[in-house]
Amino acid sequence: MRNKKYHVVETAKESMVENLKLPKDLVMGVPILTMTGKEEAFIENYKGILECSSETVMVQTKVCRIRIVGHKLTVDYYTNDEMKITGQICQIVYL
Amino acid sequence: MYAVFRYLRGYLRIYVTGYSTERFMNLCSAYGICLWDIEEVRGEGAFSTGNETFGKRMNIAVDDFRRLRLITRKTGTKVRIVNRFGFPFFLRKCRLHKFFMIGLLLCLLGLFTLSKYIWSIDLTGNTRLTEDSFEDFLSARQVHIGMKISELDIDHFEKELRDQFDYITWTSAKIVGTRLIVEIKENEVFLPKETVSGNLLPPTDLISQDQGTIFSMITRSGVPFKKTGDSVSANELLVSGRIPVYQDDGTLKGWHECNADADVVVEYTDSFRFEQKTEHYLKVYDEDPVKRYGIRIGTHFWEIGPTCGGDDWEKIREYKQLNFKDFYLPVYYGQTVCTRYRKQRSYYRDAELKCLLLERYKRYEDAFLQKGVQIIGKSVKIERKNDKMVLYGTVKLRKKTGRSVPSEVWGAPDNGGTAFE
Repeated sequence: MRNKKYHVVETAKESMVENLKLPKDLVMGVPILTMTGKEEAFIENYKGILECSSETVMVQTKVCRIRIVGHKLTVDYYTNDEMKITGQICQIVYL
Repeated sequence: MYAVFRYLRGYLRIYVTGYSTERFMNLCSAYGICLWDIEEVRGEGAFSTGNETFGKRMNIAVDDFRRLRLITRKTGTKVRIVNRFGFPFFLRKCRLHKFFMIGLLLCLLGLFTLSKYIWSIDLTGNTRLTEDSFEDFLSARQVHIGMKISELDIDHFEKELRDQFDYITWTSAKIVGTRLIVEIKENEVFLPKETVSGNLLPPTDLISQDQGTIFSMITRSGVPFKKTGDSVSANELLVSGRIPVYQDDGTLKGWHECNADADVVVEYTDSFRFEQKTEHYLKVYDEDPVKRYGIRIGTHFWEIGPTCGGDDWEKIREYKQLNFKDFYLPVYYGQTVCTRYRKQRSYYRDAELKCLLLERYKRYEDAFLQKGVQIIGKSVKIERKNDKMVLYGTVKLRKKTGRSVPSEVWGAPDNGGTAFE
């Protein structure tokens, strides 16, 4: 019941955002991932970092987890608002 | 840009080890601490305990590092400083080299101060305007090397240069670095200047610049006060720019003004006398020249090298001004070539004396020719007297004369002027 109610609310929210053309990252809290080629990735709107190594970087967002897999991955900068990952990115997985 | 700010604030490269380094990073971001250049490090290298440990190296600002205590306690991580970067650490290193830094600062301050002054003045495009005339013009207007750039009014300077020399049609003065560059364009044909209202200048008279006898006179405008054959002295009136207008009864009604213009050629005689003694001293160079290197600031020289003092040394100085492109400094560097000589008494033969005197006479004649003076006759004599030879005589010269001056009322001419338009 509870899940159904939640599902209904979420659907209503989505349709409101679609119809009123509101920014999804603000209203829905979805993350923004910007890729430049396969070497750079900017991530915004996240809650925190779960794993950080030279092969894997896992980030917790409001709606899901994002795992970036590759080689020689480094975090160029990490702040409360955004972070930048550089290296040879092979995979981006939404969990 | 961020890199510059980070360098100025100073930052540290730290090595974070512990169980949850990611939690450490999350807490840092929650506290508003920015981390950058984060990379994972596998246990080898510095701070290795021999077992394989996983840590992270990252950069953090110095101010933010001081706030890490609570975070490290919470997360159970250990933080060690690997390296220090930034301006605060550079200053700390400089404490050991205080005098060097003070000297560097003074040097920069000195260069900055020197950049506010003019250290070189260049003139280009001149053919009729000589360097000496230009220097006289500059000194009359208090423009000189070593003056402040802010004291020079460029527009006013350009206007004065055009006003001073009639044959200059275009001037451009600009300050580039510490150089004042003056470019001019001269006109071969002299045109009378126009006033703002479009009329010609106020009336002018023509006066003689030389003393002599008028050989020819062709008056184009104005009332002539002299005629061919008259003797004239310097600054005497030749042609007046005020033409009297008479009434029917012969009384003076008024003056018609114009710019007096005439071609006046005067003849005069100039005498000369050149002497050359038989005895003279030759410079005999027995030794090789020696070089001294040095710098000059103002009128002071500092040189190093073999000593070459005394009167029996011939010195040739070649110095260049120190400059970095257009940034000239009041410092000159170069060398002095010194050659020692001894005086040997010698005597000219008659033929040599004659040759020397004729050379001097030739230079004397050339000076007239350069000024456009015609030599129409000469009387030259050479005499041998005791210990010298003398060349003397007279030359008859013919030259164009006439200088315009503001007109004055000279009165009616003796030869009866005619009123004309």
